[in-house]
Amino acid sequence: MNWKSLFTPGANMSPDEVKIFMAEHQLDEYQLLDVRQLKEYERGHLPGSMLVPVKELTGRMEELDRTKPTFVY
Amino acid sequence: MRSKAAAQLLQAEGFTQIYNMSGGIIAYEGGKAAGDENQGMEYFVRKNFADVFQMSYAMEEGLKQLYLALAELVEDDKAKALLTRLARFEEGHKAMLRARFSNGAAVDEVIDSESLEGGFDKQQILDHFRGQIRGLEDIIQLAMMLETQALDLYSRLSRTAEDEESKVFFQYMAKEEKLHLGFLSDEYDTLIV
Repeated sequence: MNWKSLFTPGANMSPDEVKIFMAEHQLDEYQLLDVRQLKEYERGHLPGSMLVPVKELTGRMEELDRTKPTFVY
Repeated sequence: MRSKAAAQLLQAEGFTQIYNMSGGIIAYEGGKAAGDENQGMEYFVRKNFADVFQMSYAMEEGLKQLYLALAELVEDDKAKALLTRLARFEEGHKAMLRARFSNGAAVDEVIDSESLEGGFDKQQILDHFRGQIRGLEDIIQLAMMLETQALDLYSRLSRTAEDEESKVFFQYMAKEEKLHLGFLSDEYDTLIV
C-alpha cells in the first residue's frame, strides 16, 4: 500500500484553461470554489465563487452541486 | 496548495468533475504563485507499506520530522513555537495509533528507523520545501495543506474499514486532524489583514 494508490490523482487546470472554460460556458454550468479563509476571500476572489474554507469543507459538501465541473482554488 | 488537498477530499466524497486551479488566484491574476503542485504528503510518504497502520504511523512520523526540521530552519520565534507545537500533535497521534493496534510496540522501532533511513530523507525534504517557506504565512499554508491531506487519509480509511472498531477509530483520527486544521486556520486568520 502506498500513498499514491490510495489517492486519486487530481486533475489540474491552469488559470488560462479555466478562463477559457468560463468564457465558453454559462455561469450556471460550473462552480468556482474558494477554499481559502474569509479574509483572503474578502481581499479578492473570482467573481461568482463560493467560499468554503478548507476546514469547513467536510461539513458543507451538500452545498455543492456534484453534477457540475468544479474549479477549486 | 490548500486547493489541491481540498480537491482530493472532494474526490474522495464522490465528486467526479473536480479541477484544482494550479497556482490559485495569484496565478489567475497573472502573478507567480509560490509552491508547486507536486508537493505534499505524497512527496515524503512514498514507501510501500504493509498495512494502513504502518502507513498512518509513517505519515504521522513524517509530519513530525518535517515540522521539526522546519522549526530548525526558521528564525522567527513564533514560527518555531508553532512548528514545535504541530510536531507534538503528531507525537500524540503516534501514541494513539500505537494504542489502537496491538502490534504497535514492535512496529514502532521498525517504522522509526525505516522512515528515517528509507522513506524520509530530511535534507532532501528541507531542500524541497525551503524555497516555499518565506514566512509564517507560508508555513501555516503548507501545514494546512498537509493536515487536510491527513484528514482526507483518515476519512478514507474510516470508510474502507472492515470492522466497526477501526471505523470509529479512524473517524476519531479524522476529527483530530480537523481540529488541527481549525487551529491552523485561526492562527492564519490572525496574520492576514
